[in-house]
Amino acid sequence: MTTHEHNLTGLGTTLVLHEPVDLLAYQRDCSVAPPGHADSVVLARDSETISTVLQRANRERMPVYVRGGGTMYAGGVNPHAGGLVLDVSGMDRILDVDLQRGLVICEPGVRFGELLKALQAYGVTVGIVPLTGPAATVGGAASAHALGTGSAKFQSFADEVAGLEVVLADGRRIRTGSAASKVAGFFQRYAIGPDLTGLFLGADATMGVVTAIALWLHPLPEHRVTACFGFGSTTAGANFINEIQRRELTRNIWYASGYEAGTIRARIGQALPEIDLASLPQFGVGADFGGERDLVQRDLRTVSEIAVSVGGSVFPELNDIYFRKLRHDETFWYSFAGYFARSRCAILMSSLPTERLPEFIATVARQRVQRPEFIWGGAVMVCRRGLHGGVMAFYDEATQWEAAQTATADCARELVSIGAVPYKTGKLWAAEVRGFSEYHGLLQQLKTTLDPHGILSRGNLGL
Amino acid sequence: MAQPGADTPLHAILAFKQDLYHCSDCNYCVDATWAERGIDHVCATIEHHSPALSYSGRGYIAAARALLEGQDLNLEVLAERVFSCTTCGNCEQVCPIGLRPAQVGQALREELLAREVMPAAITALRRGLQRDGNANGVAAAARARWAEGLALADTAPVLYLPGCAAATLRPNEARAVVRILSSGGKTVATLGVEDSCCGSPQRELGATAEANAAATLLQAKARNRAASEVVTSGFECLQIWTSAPYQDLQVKSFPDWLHTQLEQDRIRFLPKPGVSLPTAVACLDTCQQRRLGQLKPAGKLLRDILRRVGCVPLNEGAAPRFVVCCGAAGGMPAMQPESSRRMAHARAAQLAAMGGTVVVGLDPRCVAHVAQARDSALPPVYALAEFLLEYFDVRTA
Repeated sequence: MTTHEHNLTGLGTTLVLHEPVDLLAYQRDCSVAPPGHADSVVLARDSETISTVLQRANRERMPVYVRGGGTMYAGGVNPHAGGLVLDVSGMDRILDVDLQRGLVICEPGVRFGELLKALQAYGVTVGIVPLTGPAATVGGAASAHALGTGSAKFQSFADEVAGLEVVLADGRRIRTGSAASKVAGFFQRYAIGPDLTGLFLGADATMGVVTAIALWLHPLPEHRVTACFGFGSTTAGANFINEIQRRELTRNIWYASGYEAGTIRARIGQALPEIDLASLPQFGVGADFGGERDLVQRDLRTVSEIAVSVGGSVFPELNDIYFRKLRHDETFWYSFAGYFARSRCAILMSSLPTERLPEFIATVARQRVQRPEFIWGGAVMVCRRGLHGGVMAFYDEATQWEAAQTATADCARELVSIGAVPYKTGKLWAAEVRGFSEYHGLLQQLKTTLDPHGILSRGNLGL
Repeated sequence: MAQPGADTPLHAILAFKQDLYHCSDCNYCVDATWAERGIDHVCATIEHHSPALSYSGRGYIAAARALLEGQDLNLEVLAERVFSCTTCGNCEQVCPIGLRPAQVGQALREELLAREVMPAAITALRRGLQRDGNANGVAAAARARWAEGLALADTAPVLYLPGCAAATLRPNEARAVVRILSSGGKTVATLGVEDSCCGSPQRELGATAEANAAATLLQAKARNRAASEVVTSGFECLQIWTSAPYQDLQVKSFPDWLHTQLEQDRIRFLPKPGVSLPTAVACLDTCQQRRLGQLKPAGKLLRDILRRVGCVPLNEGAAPRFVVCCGAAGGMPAMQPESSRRMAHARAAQLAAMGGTVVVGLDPRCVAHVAQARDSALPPVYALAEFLLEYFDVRTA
C-alpha cells in the first residue's frame, strides 16, 4: 500500500498526507480549542517547497495552517478552515552558529532541546527557552511569543530575534533586518526603516511562514542559585516584583514566577503535613538567578532585602520543596505533569502590568467559585517588565470539553476587563482581540496587504 | 474498506480509555531532546521510516480515540501504521504523565487482528511463527543446532532457555552462555528439541491468544525439568517471563545471573594470555530492558560487569531507559525492512562515534541486527557472553 503520495506536482519528493488516518494527529495542539480537519498535510523540508505550496494555495484560495511541534495551547495550529497543514517540523537544521556575531541561525523545526544541546558545546545559550522545550520548536516559539527561561532577563522570545527569513502568502521569500542585504546577512534587527521582523513574530503564522530564525546568543551562566520569597498578600508580592523590575534586578534572573496561596499550600502541605497551613504566605515568588558568582550573590542579597522591605521574607520551604526541584533540570521541566490532576488543561495566557497582580489572582479565585466543576490554578511569570499570567482550568476531556471551552471564553472576557492583554493569542483569544477594534483593524489591513486571499492561518488573531 | 461494526466492542482499546483522554498532545512521544535527562530523540520510526505522526505514539492515541468515538477509518491503512511500530516503548518512557502510547498501539493491533485486518507481511510473519516457532525463518527442526557438541543435560540445577534470537540468529552467544553457566564443571540443562518460542513476538504483534498459548506450553516444558534456576538470553522473552501468570517460573536474564555470580565472587574472568584486552567498550543497550521494571536496570548491570572484568564502558553517562530502538523489534523488520536497516545503521553509527574498540550488547536480537548493519567504521559487535569468552578465561571460585 502506498503510504504517501510522492511527486505531487511541483513538490518533488515532499511527503503529502491525505489519508484520514494520517490526518488525525494534525487536528489540534495542546489547547482546549476545538480541533480542525485538514484535507492534507505537507511535510516540508525546505523553504522552496513552502514557496511552491503557498503559490499554489494562493491560486486555489486554499487555507494553510503552519505547524511545528504542535505544543502551543491557543489553538493556533488547529486547521479550523480545513485546507492544508504545512508541517515544518522536518526543517530542523541548525544553519549556522556564528560566535563572532553572537548569533545562531536555524530552521523553524529545530527543537529547543536539540538547539540547547548543540549550543552547550560552545558555552552559549539562547535567551528564551519555553517550558515545553524538549519537544517545542523554535518556529513555534517565534510565531507564538514564547515565554519561559530567560523571560525575567530578556522579556519575550521576540526580543531575542535578530532577523527572519519568511515566505509570504504569494510565495515570495524575504529576509528581514540587516539580512535584507544578502551580503551583510543577519547581525542587526533594526535596519532600513520600521521593524518588519516584528510583523511576523507572535503573528501565529497569519502574515507569512517563518523559514529561518536568527537568535542572539548569550554565555551560559557560570553560577546558578534559586531562592523563594513569601508575602502576606498579593499586593505585597506585586510591590516586590515591581521594585526588582524598576531597579533592573532581573538582570541576573533567568526565570521567576509567582504562586498563589492554593499552590503554596498544596505543595508545602503535602511535603510538611505538620505545618500550619494558615501560617503560610498568601503569595510566593521563586527566582532562578544565573550569572557571575559575585553579581548573583550581590543581587540575591539586594532582592532579599527588598522582599523584607515590602513586608515579606525569604521562603526557604517553597524553594526546597517546590521551586528548586522544578528548576533542577536547568532549562525546563515537565510542564505537562500537572495535567494529570484531571485530564487536560485549558490555559489562557495574558500580559498584565505588575500592579494588576492582585486583580489577576482575584479573577482566578472567582473562577473557582463560579465554576467549581474545574480545578483552577493561576501563576504569573515575571518578565523584565510586567507579568504574564497563566490561568489554568483542569478538566476531564471525556465529559467536560465543551464546558471547558465556555469557561475559558468567559474567563478571557473577565481578564480583559481587569486590564489583562491577550497573549499567545491563537484562536482562543480571537473574540477579545477583535474587541480592540482600532488595533485589530490595522492588523486586518496589514493582513489583507500581505495575504489578500486570507489563506494563512485563518482564524488566528481573529483574522 | 474494513470498518468496525457498531456491535463490535473495542475491548482492547477501551482498557486504555483514560490514556486516550489524558493525552495533552505535548509531542514528547514524537520527538524530544532533553540532554540533562539523557533523552536524545524518541521514536526510531519517526526518525528513520516516516515523519508522519500516524506512525507515532501520538498518532496511535489519536487513531484509537477516533475509533472509540465511532469515526470511520480505513483499517488497512491504520494496520500499515500500527504494525510498523518497533514496540520499543520509548514513547512511554518519555511521556511526562505516564501514558502508554506503545500499549495503545498494541491494543490497536489486537483490534485489527480480531477483525483479521493485517498487512501481508504480518500474515507471513505469523505463518512463519506458527510453522517454525520463531520469527527468523529458521526451521523448527534446526532450532536446537546451536547446542550441537555441547555437553548438556535434560535436567540440572540450571535450565537455559536461549530464546529465539540467540538460538537462531546468534548461536555463538547461546553456546558461550552455556560455557559460562557450566564453568567449574556444573551441568546445565536445555529443552533440546523441545525448546520453542515463548510467545513474545506474537505478543508484540497483538496476537495475545497465540502468545499465551506459546508461553503456557514453554512454561510447562520448563517446569517439567524442575530446575532451581532458569536463565535466558532473550530480553524480549523476559517480557513474557515477568508477566502474569508466567512469572512463577522466575526466569532471569543471563546478565542478571552473571552479575550475581561476580558480586559473590563465584566466577572470575581472567584476560587470555597474549590477547590484547579491549579496554574501551561501547555498550549496546536494548530498548526491551525499559519494559522490565525488575531489571535494576540491565544497562547498569552490563556496565558493572564490564568494569568488573577490567573494561571501561564508554557510554557510562547514557540513559539506557531512553535508548532509541535499533529496529530489530516489533513488526518493523517484517513490515519495513529498509527502515529497519536504517535504524540499525543509525545505532551502529552512534556506537562507532564513541570510538571504542568493541561493541557489547545485552540482547542477542539487537546484537544480531546491529551487527548486520555494521560497516567498516564500526568495531566488532558482540553479545555479552561471546565477548567474555573471546577475551577472557573463565575461572570459578
